[in-house]
Amino acid sequence: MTAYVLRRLLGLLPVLVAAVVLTFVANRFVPGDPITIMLGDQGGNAVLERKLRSEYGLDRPVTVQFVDYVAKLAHGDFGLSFRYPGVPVTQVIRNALWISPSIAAAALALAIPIGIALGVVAALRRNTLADTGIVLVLVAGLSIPNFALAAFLVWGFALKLGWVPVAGWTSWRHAILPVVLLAIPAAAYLARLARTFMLEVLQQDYVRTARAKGLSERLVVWRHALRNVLVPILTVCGVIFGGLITGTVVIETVFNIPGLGRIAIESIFARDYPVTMAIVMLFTFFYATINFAVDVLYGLVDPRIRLEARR
Amino acid sequence: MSAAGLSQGANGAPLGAAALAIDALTVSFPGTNGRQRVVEDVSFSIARGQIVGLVGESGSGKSVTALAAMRLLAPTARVDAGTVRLGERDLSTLSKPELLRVRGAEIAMIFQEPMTCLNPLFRAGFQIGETLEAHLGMSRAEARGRAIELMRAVGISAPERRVDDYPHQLSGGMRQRVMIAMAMACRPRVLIADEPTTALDVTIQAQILALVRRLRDDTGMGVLLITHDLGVVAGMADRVVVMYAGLVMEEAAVRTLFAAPLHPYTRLLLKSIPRIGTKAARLHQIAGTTPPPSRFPAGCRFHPRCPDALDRCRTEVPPLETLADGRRVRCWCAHETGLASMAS
Amino acid sequence: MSAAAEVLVEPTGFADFRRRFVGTPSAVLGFAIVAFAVGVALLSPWIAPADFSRTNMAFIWEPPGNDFALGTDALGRDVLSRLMVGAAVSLTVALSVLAIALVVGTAAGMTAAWRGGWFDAFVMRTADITFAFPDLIVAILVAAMLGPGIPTVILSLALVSWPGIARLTRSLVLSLRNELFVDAAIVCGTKPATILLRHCLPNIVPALIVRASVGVGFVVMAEATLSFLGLGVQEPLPSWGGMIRDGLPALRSDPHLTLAAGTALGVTIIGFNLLGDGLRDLLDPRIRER
Repeated sequence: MTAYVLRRLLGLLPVLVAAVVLTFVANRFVPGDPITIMLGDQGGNAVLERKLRSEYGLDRPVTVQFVDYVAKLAHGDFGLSFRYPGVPVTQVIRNALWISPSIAAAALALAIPIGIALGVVAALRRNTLADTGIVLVLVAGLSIPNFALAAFLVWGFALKLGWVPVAGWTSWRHAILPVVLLAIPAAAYLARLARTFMLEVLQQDYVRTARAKGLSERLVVWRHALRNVLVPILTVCGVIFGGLITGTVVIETVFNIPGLGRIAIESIFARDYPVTMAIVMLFTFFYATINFAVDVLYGLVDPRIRLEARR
Repeated sequence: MSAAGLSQGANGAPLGAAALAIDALTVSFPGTNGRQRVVEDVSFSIARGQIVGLVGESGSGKSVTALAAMRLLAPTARVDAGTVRLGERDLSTLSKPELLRVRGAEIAMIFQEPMTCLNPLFRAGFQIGETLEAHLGMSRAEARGRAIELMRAVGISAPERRVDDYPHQLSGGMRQRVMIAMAMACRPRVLIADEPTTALDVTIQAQILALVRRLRDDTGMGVLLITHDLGVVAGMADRVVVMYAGLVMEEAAVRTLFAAPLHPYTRLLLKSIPRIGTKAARLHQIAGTTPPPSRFPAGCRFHPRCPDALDRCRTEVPPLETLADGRRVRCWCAHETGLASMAS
Repeated sequence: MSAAAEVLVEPTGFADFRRRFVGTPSAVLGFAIVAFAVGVALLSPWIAPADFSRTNMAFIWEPPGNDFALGTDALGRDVLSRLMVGAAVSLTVALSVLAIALVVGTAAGMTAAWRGGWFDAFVMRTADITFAFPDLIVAILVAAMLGPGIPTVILSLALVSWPGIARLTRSLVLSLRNELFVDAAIVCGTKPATILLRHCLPNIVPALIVRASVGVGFVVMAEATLSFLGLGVQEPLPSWGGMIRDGLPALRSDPHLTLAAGTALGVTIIGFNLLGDGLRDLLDPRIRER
């Protein structure tokens, strides 16, 4: 098992290296000189400019800057913000750090049981009206972009019915619509997969064996078939979580939630590249970590892989 | 014993205690032009302690017959007519809960592919024990203990260790033994074995067949052995039912059938068995293939491949005639040569 | 031809394909929606009731009614006209992205499969790394670097779309390499480029069509998202994503702008996805996304 985990960890390395290099390159070659932008109407102040350049390390050769950047990253230091001169990036994003992953995790927790249940029910009622209806709803759930659906739900549930707050981030009630909105496409995606896998698994010989044993349909479906559906579904949960993290960028903008996603967009428009890049790095890190966790979990769930790993 | 195949004959007088009796079974599947009958008017029975071989090429309907008997057919399949009786009970009219109590307990089945028939995510012992939990109400621990005993009884060495193995850790022969242990868990009255050795090595094949025979001797269960291998039938079965294109073509006691096959199809099947010591440079093959149900020919379904086909065979479906010694045959040739007229 | 038979997806001719297609209601519905959207986009210069960019401060936030079928926006522009032109903008972007991704992806995939070696490794590792980032994050990153605008949108979405096509092409060409007709061409001394373009390409085109049709929905959605965030299509050109954003602040009093654009966007993507799914199921159930 250790070797298996190590092998998977090793697989993470190129991704993280790519993320570091890309963010550095992006950071240094974006259009517009950040110091000039920062100086604004103090553009002629050469003393201040020199001070800022040295403070941001921009007066040194690019290679030195890169080594410095990596060394600081290793200590969790993302450098200084452009928008708030002199303020470390970590301070800008500290309070926002866990908002996006929490929303995404809540959405995933909501989406998994609903998605799987819908998919299994559709598969069991294959080619009936219920199945066709579910499949159409799933296509709609996957197709309608979050922000468009958000507009409809806010208009209906917040403005017309007044059940939930319109926007903001002060009580748990503010989290309802964002989490539900993020969960909808995830659940739809999971349900489609669950339906496909279930239809496939129900054709398997071991399902027929379970029936031949005289097991009730409940045990055949929810014990023998479902477990075989869950294993492949687990592998896509990482991808889904990545989609959810991305989704928070949009959702936080719509609902004015002070999470990483909204800060990322704000910093793009403010040309605060260090903050933007730090958030992209963090998102990549979350994504890679989750995929790694999924790989390890997959090894634990499937005895075939677990054994290969033990060797 | 030789007449057991007719034990539930038309005159209704049971000649022996039939463990399983299939009567006039007809099964259809949806096809491109309406429903197609894949199994038609199939009747035969298995006495207690008897092994009946069901023989035919792939596509002859033998597996569908077995699955219909277990009521395990795919949802698209439909049983249009016929009954399946297990002892005195008609399985085809059982309610769902009643069926669940019988299936796996009184009638059990093992399949061709031991590789894919066990759930890869559950331990072998658990899968055996499930049967016991379902039918005998055993606790998980009791079931596990009994599973170990069953595994030992089917010849698995070190069952205390094997009980916690996952299917992929077992060899093909071992998996088939696990399947057999699972099927035997509740001492069924009838075991249906659908090509149980086709996927196994020849040496393992012999061991598995010997095991089935021994279990039959020990428990007195009836066995339906489905195979395309007449060699297996010769060594195992008491009676043989030959199917072609969904119809029973011939049925006889195994010795009679091998000594004097009546149906041209049976004769060709027998010729195709490779024999040690014969000079034939190449294996005998039956020309052509079994047609799909959508292209079953008119008249006798075998006539396009039959070396002895008469004009009549092209237009009229021959009836399944019962002969004096209890054997049955569906062939105009046999009918015209007067053999069938021996039937009383 | 066994492996090629898996690649060749339409063995029974167009008539049979059309019969099965018509027998799939969801695919027909998707086709109808897509055809409608494409028709509106193509005809928008002639059928739009007003100039999409003409502002009229006398008629801001007009509700839907006789003068303006779908009302007006904050600058008094006709929403229906902007929706129609928005369709053209959206579909142009999607078409451009797919064209670039298909050309680059197919070329890279075919070359990687044929040459193997470092080029193959390079293409596949690049694809792996691209897959390791969430799609939209990459697109947002690129958009942030290049600044908003239609070329940025096209470039950033093409960047995340080509690796999937390269991977698919590579695997298809690899399976074709073992075919007799390829061996025959090699023996005849045909140049590799000719073999790939003349002999292999026609065999993989159906699979590529399916892959592309499944991807359109994603591209339309991604463009709308970037535009919604302000990183995509810029004023005065209308985009559905941008219109939804513009309408949000007025959602309480004048929801028509956001809801109309949201409906157009949602229905169009549903249409593309229904059509894509239908084509995939009909042409080749084996091709899964990515």
